[in-house]
Amino acid sequence: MVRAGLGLAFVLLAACGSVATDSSPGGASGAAGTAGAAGSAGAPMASAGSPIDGGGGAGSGAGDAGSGGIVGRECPGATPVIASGATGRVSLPIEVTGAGATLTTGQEVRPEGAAPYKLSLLKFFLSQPVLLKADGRRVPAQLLDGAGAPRPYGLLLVDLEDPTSLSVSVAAPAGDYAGLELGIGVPAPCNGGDPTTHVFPLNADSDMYWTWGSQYLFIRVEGATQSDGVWNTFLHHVGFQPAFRITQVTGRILLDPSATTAPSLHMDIDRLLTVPTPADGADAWVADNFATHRVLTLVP
Amino acid sequence: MTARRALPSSLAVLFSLLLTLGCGGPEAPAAASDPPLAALPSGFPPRPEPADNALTPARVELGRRLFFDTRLSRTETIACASCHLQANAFSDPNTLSRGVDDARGTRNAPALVNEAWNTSYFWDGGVPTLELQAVAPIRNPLEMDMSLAAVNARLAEDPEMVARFDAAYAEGPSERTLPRALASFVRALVSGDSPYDRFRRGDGSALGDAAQRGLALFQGTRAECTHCHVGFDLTNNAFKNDGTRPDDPDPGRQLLTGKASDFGKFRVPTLRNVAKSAPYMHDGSFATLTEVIEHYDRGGEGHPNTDATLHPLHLTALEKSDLLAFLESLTDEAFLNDPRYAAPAR
Repeated sequence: MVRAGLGLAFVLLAACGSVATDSSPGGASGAAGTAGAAGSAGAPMASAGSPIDGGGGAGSGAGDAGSGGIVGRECPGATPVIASGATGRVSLPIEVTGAGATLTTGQEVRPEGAAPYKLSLLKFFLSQPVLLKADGRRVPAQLLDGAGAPRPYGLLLVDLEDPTSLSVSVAAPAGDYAGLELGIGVPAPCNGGDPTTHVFPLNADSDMYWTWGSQYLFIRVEGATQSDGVWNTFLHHVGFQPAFRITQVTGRILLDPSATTAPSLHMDIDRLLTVPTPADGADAWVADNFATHRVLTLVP
Repeated sequence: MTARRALPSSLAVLFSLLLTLGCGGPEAPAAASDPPLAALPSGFPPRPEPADNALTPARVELGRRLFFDTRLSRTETIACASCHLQANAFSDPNTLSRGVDDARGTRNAPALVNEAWNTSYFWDGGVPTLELQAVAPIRNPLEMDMSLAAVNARLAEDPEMVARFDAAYAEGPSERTLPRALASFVRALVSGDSPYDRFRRGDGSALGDAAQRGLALFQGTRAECTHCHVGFDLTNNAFKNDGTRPDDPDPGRQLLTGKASDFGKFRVPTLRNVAKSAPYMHDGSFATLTEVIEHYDRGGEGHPNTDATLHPLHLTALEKSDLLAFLESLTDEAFLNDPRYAAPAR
């Protein structure tokens, strides 16, 4: 359970030369958040809240896209089991791109019409996958690891520097689907608790654990942007439950034993770092961009 | 979430007895040799303990050894005790503490006094338990800059410490046991034997006239200190802005809640041993209690979110010195010199 009062999205913005720390509140520019409606703007299809298709025990009640994720659903725990009936499997590779090309840490990116940038770290949680039927029905899915086992706590920690994390593998009832919904962040029932008894990625040593807030960061994007030839470092740390977002991607996803190819998930860092309105350093704009600016797209 | 469980305590005792008998194991401490837990001072409420970390002498003693152990820091130069000095009521006389490579934090290290009864930890209250609090300084790059795993790897090479972990938790150094042991020591730090306490228990001679007048001021409508500093531990555990300077850059609890109403608010600390825990306030901005009394007498420095209870008091010089005498009567010499809380003999 999340304690009341630990509320809002929190974005750390550090200027050039400041000390990067996820454990000390020093140097923070402020806290604020855009609570509530998550990822509905521009949602291409079934809006969150549409009827849920059976889907076994993978998660009932997956309709609340409000802050904090799915209300009432329990944390799946460290060793979840695959729901009965979830016989279909699909693996969607994640391709992280900048200026249209594959992006790795340290690589300079020069997007057209925007400042050059480079990333030193990119990590974020994906959670609560829901497959979307063409008629709007929603089928809860489960995230799997590379060996096909359900991921602890139902969470995928994507890490740009960990190739084994760059794939969204799910189990769900076999079928022909038209899209995928993903939570960005740690759902409320898993956020908090006792990290000293948790396994990766929610253990106390996890660099997503915010020790002074006793919760987990949802997104860490760190790097530098170039202005007048000078590289200025930034770190965007997004956490706290109102910053939980839900995003949707559209495109055919076939969960069928006969399927031989799967689409891939493209993640556009140019779009993630685009600030739609001037950032005042006190907004969860990174999470908003992630959810609503087609940062993730499904490519056949 | 993992199914780790401590062995039944009888087994743990048996295990530690076996170690004591020296069955080929390392030189292991007998549970019986660990100092027994101190009785709580009269008038104190029961001490809260988490169900999965009941306080035992073995855990407190293990925690004490860890508290004074520099292996917890990357550079093996910083222990908890480096910034929490017993003579200073386990606070740091430096305005800002020095971590590895002489890094500085942003707030003054608080005293560790009767922490077991606190309802949250850190100046902004972001941490709910002592166990989770113990994780933070170890991992903070400005303090010890270690992972728990790296600390535990060092400790695992020390047979005596491994034996102590096994005796205390039936498990070696781990992410689970390390913070629990540290929390146990801090939970055992109890102060309740100051002259003020003895006065409350009926010893009329424990407080001099000035301190008694100061106590009346403290509790009365003249100085109104008990708006916040109330109860057996002289804190209401609330979050307040106590009139810090208007240009204080620290957003305080707002950092956690995002609420404008929490701007510049910090946890109200206990005043026990306050005469020994200088400097004062979240940023250590006052060097002496006299400065603090002048601050409250002025009604604060003008922070825009100053608590409504603050206002100029217009205390006389005598009243100020009486208040100071009362605050000094909160010093518990037995606590400050208790060998159970001191650095272990090596």
